[in-house]
Amino acid sequence: MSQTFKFEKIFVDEKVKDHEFTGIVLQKTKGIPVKIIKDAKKVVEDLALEDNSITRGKRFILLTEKKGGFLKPCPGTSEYLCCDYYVLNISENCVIDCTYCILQEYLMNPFITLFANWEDSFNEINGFLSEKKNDLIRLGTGELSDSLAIEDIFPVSEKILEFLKNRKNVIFEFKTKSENIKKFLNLEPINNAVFSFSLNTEKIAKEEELKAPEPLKRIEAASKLAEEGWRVGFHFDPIVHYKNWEIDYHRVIKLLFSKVEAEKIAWISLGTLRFNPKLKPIIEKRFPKSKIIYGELIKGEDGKLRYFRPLRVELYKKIYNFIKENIQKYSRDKKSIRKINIPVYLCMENEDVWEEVFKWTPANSSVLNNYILKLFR
Amino acid sequence: MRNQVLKISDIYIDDKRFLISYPLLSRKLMESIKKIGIINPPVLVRRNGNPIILCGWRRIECLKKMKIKKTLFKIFDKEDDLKAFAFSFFENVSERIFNPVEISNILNKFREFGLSDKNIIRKYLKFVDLIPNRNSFERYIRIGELPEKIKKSIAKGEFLVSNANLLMKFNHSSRLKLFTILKRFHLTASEQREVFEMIWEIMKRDEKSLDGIFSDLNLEEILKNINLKEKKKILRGRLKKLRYPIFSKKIDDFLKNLQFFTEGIRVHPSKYFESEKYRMEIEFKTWEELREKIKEVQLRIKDDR
Repeated sequence: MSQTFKFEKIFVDEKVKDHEFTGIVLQKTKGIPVKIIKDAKKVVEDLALEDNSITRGKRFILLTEKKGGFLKPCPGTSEYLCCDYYVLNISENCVIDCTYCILQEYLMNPFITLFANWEDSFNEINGFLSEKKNDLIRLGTGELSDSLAIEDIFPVSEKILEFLKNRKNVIFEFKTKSENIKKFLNLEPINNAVFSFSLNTEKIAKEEELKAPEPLKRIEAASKLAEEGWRVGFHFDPIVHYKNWEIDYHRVIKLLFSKVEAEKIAWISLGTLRFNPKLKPIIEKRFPKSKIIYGELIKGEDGKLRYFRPLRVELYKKIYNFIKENIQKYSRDKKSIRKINIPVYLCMENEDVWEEVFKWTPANSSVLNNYILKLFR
Repeated sequence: MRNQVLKISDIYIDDKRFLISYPLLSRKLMESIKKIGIINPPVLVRRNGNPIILCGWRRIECLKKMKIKKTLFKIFDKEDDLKAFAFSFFENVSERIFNPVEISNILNKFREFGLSDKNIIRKYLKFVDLIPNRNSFERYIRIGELPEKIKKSIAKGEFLVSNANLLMKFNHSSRLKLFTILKRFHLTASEQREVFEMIWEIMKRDEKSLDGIFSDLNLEEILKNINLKEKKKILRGRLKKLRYPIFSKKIDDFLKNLQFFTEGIRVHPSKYFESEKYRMEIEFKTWEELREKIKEVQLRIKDDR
């Protein structure tokens, strides 16, 4: 059972009370009071009417069913270039509780929601993959939740890995801020799975990612996986602009390349802080000490708040240069014969920014997907 | 419920537990009473042996002002405050529209009488034309905490609830100070919103006091300006510089580069510089004038190289 996250109660939707996976979760959460409920929708609505419902919701698990629709294209954002990513929503909400988390505003349901029938998603994925048999699809569980943070009580990843073994046209990403990787160290690595870690500077992790392990721990977790032969990825997202950001991002990137075998890095993404304006009052109320929302954020073409373009370009350029510089250093230190070529891409950015940072722009999201997956082809 | 004529002076008006109305005195109601009298008698309940007002605070206030000594009352026998208040609420809802301060009073009263927030939201918000969710509830519940001057302005519809909520972020003493000073700028609702947000965000980011920001803005100097439009422009301009220093510098640099163009040549960046592209606009009356202006643009581009 997870050491870090404590739950007060588990609500079990009557519809899934006899489901095999409900039994597994209840077995792993022994000691936590369980309540069988008839109407999950009403329970969710009830909590949403309470004060501090987002904070309270993180103390409760809701085990329920999802009637299809597990697999979706990543919502992305209009007017900005997306990367043709697909998301597998087998659970909703995250225990890590970062100040900037968009789920606070995006999800109407504050519970840590686990779909007992999540394995039904395999049929959906199968159908989708056979439709797209000539494409290589990137798919992951880290969009509406953290892929590994509650793996101890919601053990899905092994089954997903098993499922992936014979499927050639999908690359599956487990996206996390946790260091919950121990069990994967004993498994045989497979080529079409990537464990990716959201990274930030120590300052941002300490002040804004309140329940997440420090960046060093995340990097060490990635390093262990890489040593065992797994591919790993990194997401510098959200990149936050503050005094001394350059020094701090440089430091974390140096740390990353000093610990992780660069040959095992599948991709690195960069994304600056951005969010729907509706999130602002939520952050102000829940995290009054957080100052990230007071940066120089303007309303972008998609209506989201983001740093204005010259500032974003400056952040991306410098961080990209730190990455390049560290890859070169890594190659020199390891006397690597093969050129290490890690795809670095921008998340939800416009073409002008791509052009300024990388001197090229993917023509569309499919081209971008192919670029990200170049190491897999 | 029974009817009874009572002396107004016999009513125990210190007990305001059921008071919703804000403000208490209504000139229109007084005029109406003068013309046609009171159609619906105020309703009283007995608490600790005293008759107290359940509905009709305004009517009684008007009668007092009109020096009327006695009137007909309805006496309601409910012992339970919550039930009595719910009765009063529905009696009012059918007859008038509540202003935001009164809505705040209603929500707070229901809370005081022991109703949970959840039940207030579910059962009552729709009757005051609010969406029954937590956000609507939170927007109104604290309005009553604002200083009288601000509440009066809200009740009159001069000051929006959304902007009052922005003001609620500030501490007690700052709310009135900010409201009073900014009133002198005659800002529109959207300008108020922008100004409140910027001041609050600078305070939070730079850990500054309101007085510190007023001093940075040199408010008194701005207020000396006679032209209202100019006053607003300077205030918002200075605030933007404090709130968005990097962005403001970019705009200043951009404008500096354009100052050499003669009138009628304008260069527009994309909104917030989100695109690298610029748009140029040249105004001309004759081909000759256009030729001259194009020549000027070409020279400028050459200089820039």
